[in-house]
Amino acid sequence: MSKRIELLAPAGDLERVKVAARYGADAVYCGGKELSLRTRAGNLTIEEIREAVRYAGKYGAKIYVTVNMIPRDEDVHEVRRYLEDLEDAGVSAIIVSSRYIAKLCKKAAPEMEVHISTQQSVTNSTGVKYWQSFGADRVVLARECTEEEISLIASHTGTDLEVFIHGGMCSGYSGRCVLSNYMSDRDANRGGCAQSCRWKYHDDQGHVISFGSKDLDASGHIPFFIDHGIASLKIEGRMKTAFYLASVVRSYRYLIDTYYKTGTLSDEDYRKAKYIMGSVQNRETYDGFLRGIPGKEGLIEPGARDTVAQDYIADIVSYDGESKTALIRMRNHLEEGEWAEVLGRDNRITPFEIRGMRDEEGTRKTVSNRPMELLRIETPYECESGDYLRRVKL
Amino acid sequence: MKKLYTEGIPGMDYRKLKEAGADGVLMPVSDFSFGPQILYTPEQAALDLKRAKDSGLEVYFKVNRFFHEGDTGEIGAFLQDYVGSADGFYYTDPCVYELLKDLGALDKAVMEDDTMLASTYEISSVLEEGVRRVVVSPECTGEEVLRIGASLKNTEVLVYGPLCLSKSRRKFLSAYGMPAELNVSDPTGEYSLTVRETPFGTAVYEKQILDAGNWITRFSEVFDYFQIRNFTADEDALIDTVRYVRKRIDLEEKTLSSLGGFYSHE
Repeated sequence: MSKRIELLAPAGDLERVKVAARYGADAVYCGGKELSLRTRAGNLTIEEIREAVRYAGKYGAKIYVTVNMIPRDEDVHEVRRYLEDLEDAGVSAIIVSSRYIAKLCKKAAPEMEVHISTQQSVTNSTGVKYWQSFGADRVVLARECTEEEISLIASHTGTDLEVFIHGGMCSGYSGRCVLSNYMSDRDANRGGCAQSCRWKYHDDQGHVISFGSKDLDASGHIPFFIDHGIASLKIEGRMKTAFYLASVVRSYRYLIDTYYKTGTLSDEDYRKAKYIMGSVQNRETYDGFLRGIPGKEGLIEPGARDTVAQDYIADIVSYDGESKTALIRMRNHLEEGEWAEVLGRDNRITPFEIRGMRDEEGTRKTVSNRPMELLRIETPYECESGDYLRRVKL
Repeated sequence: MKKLYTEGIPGMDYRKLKEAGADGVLMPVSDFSFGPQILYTPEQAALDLKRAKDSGLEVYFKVNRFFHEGDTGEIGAFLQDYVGSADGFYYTDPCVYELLKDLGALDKAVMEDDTMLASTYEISSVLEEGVRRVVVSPECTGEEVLRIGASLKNTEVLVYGPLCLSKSRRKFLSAYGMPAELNVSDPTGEYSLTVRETPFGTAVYEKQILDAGNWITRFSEVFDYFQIRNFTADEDALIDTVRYVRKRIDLEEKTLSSLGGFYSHE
């Protein structure tokens, strides 16, 4: 085996950078306020990026910044200064789809690595070599590659390769879909994708189809990626919540670490990883193109809506070991007598019954239905600030 | 000299195409191109290469799909076979660039990547790699296209034909058990799309085709290369379109009013 594989997690803002690093990501990618593809994510100022680098560093994690918008002339005037600022902030790499920005980065901010975004749809080793000769330090492969193709590409190239393992999938080759531009006047390649592929389309015969893809879950392929020397496993979703990130990152962290430790992943390991992830996944999943080109099983039902799970109960604000109680900030409805468990960065996840709910004044409560309300509950297992309380359905 | 290139129809009368005002014919090759619609098999391309050349036309092959590991040998062999006789190859996947570089034929590389080549900076970066020409993204506004054309030589602009909205490796239509081509619309009925499946994926086109209209004349002030993408198997219709576009290119008065696609966006 070559160097240890990286778990790369997304973050839409500084809070989520911290969660991803704390829950076990080796690197976190986020957007700056400029030239990033997720314009509806909060994204980070340079000062926040500096703080992200500092915080992630405590956990040994790196920060990458996406500069992956496909730029127009008016977008690039300030890009040199921006790249210099990112380098000065301690960013380890930029993720980029533009040749111009990639070249400029090599000159203006040579300390930062250049990672070629999946927007470039690299699907073969000759394409990887092109980007390698371009000075790229890493290439993110297109999500359309099969396991067999990834294996061949890895064996034919010496460049670090990154693959997606979890999250949303585009219906088309990334970067080559402008359905959103035409149908919503929102530029998919400048951060405005309206996900028009997920709409329902019909023909004059009454057939209804969707171009929308199920989400990716490649957890079953982790041994393959590690064995084939892939450099990085990427989780998609800069728009996802901190709770989602905590659950998904910890789950993949568990699988990767277990494989390195034992050389295998058993059904029990996968069951445990699934349990850690809980029910944060709000769409159906499949393993993408890894087993071959997907048919209907890779598509969502026309017009399908995302499900909303109510399992995220509260954030742990603090824990008092003496009274064995936790101060929690509510996020969802909770009643005394329900069962819950704490999802921490590395705690033993054990269900317990909710008891002794009190508000800040110490008044007993049996129900909470006010988001952001602060409550104290009895917590038999130690936890800490930054952990999450989630519902257990018995 | 303003050069006009058009995608052709296999077996067509290339002499008429030349007389209508085309300087070259583009042949999307079935194994290597998403289309748009009229594809040449490699065998037809080989036959028509000579016929088109004999008619005085430049000949380019479109090999602009993404090649997956395992496909690169086939495209490599095709390039090798025709690098001496074709005037160039329109490509998207950088593997084609690498293969042409290995053949010492970068002067035959024409990069056509609809979405990515949308700024002067980006196109300039590609031109610096030694390619022959770059096709400007049709998602640019008309003003952006003009700015690019005014700044950079060896750029080509799409002025007529179907606009591709999405290219996918998935086979949507066969997944639903439907024919290889289908016209669909969104729930409001406002947008009509043509979905076309090939052996290596699906392309989605806007049903209405682009006619850059008066922009063609404006573009001709700064561009030297113009492209028509084919939308029909009707040879007369294609030849009329070539005449129409050539007329617009050669017009000096800018009095025409029709506008098209993203070119008219603010």
